[in-house]
Amino acid sequence: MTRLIGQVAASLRKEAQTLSRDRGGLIVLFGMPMALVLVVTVVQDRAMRFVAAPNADLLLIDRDGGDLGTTLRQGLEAAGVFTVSTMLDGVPVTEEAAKEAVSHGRFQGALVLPEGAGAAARGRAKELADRLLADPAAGPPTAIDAAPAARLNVWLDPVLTEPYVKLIRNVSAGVLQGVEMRLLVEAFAAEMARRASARLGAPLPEALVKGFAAAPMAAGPGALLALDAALSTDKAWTDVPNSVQQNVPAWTIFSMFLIVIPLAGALIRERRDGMLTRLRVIPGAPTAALLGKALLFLGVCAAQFAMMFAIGAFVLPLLGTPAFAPGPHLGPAIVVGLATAAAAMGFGLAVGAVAGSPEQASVFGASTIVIFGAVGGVLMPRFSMPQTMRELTIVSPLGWAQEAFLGLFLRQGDLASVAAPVLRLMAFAAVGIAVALTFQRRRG
Amino acid sequence: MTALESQGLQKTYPGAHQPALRGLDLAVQEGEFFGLLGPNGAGKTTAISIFTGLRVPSAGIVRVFGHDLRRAGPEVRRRIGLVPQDIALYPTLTVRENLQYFGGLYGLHGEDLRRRIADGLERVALSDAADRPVDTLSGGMKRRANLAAGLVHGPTLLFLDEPTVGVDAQSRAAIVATLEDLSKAGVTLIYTTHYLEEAERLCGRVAIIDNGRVLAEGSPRALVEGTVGCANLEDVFLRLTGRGLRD
Repeated sequence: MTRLIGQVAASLRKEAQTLSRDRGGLIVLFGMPMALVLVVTVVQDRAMRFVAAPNADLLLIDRDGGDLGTTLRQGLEAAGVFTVSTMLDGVPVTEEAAKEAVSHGRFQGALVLPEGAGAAARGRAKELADRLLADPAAGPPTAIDAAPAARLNVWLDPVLTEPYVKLIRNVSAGVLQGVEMRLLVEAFAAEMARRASARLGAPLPEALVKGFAAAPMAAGPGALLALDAALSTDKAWTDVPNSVQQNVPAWTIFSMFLIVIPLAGALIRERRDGMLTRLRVIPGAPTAALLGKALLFLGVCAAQFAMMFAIGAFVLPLLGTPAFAPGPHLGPAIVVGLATAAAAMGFGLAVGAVAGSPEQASVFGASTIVIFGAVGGVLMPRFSMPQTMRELTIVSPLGWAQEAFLGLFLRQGDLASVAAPVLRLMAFAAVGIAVALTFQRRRG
Repeated sequence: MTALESQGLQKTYPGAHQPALRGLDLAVQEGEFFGLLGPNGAGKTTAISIFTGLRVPSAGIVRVFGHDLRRAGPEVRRRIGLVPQDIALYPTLTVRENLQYFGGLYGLHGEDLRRRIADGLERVALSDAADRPVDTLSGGMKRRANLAAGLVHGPTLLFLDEPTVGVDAQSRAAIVATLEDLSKAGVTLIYTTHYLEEAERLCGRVAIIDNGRVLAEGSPRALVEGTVGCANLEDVFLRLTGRGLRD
């Protein structure tokens, strides 16, 4: 046993020396994942933020200056989709500045309330109420003679997708409809009060008139017809991660699986160049050499795990994304990380045993990892895939790892709740080792 | 004492039409410098693979220092050293780091390992290049480093598979000198080579094998003298194995 420990220590030292001189390998294992997680997370952040919780930053240019602007702003904010701002960089926003800000993507839209819009809307509401109450049998007038309807302009970010544009339009239209309804009710209440006063010969109490105008709106939405929107399952919403929750575990997994390339390459070179022959003459050396490699690449995976999680927690927030916060799930996440590392090692050993040359292993290993990553929801979030591709996740070890990480971070699961994907990863590792040993024996 | 003995050694590779070894019988005494000679495909590498435990024979037995090799424990196997034909060294590691690694695998460490490495480097005249990565060395230096790696644990039975192939005259002379020193120190050497004049000069005894069988065995001088019309070992070799080209 002591001899084996000494042999493994010698092997571990040799592997560390070899890897430390392999600049290309170090870039593949650490540089590339670092760049990928930073770039992809930031690039996907805006889109995924909207998918996870639709929200549009809207500028309101209130050139009317009356209470219609306030009403409109309250309505838009109450819709729960917009964050409305009338200031840009600390000063009241102008139309030009708003256009510029929207076209550069700082805001998703800008709404211009033109000068006199409130007065025009009230004038039209009053005329409508006057004419309808003057001759109810005549029905609504076909044309209104008062000032023309104010036209509100909305400018939208040109990069917005069609569903996003429709959402902004529909919600804005709904809010405007509510404002129109309110103006109409107020106009009708005022006109009816005026007519009632004329018949009674005395003015109605002001509180009664105001209360009458406010009563229909006071009950609030849903007083007459209520909409109960429920999720189809109690977990459905949790399948949509934000960019950080998606990408930090995803690229951690991807980087871990990249050990396949140097690991398989080292095994093949050892076999091809005769080092394995020398090792096989030394009692216990092949096992020690394999354990040394396993320990080194386990260490590499641990370093990748720490590096990627640290980037998520400390670097990505500096670039404007949410912070990655594993919180109480860090312990179970380490277990998932170990299972992922084991699966990657098993795969690397199998590729190293089966492939005929380092070039073959490199091409096959890299292609397989990318394909596994694509179908496993690592390169692109699983929720954004077609249904058929989502079902293919079951064949991807990278997908199992991602499923386990998302189970912890997104669905607030514990280790027991992600046991299935963890066990699949361990089984994959065992199969990889078995394949490697079978091929090694056959070649021996 | 007999360092290596094989009896009725046979080996047929899966799917092969012909056996690689057809009853190879050899006995090499401790301290002998023994040459295993034969044309390409004669079975030399297969024989060495079986003698070092890399391959299992289809039939027959190999004894090393009196122990059945298949049942021999690590203590017996640690006495065996191999210098393979390939430069079986890690190219990005220095010569010293390679020797540290192989010495470590033999359980050597600390001052003992450092001393053995220094001795080995001096023996192959590589002390000045000890800290150079192997891939920066010349072909001859690599061969000498390859030899040093086979010696680091101090084997008493050393197998060398064409240790001087493809090197310049200087490196070849250095390797030969090292082998002579080892032989004088009592190490049993079994080596293969295609340089027959080298074998004639170095080996106390040789075996010429072909088609997996021993065709002749004895001291080079005895073989030359015993074969009519042959002036040297190469003549004997060609007489026994023929002049037909081998693949």
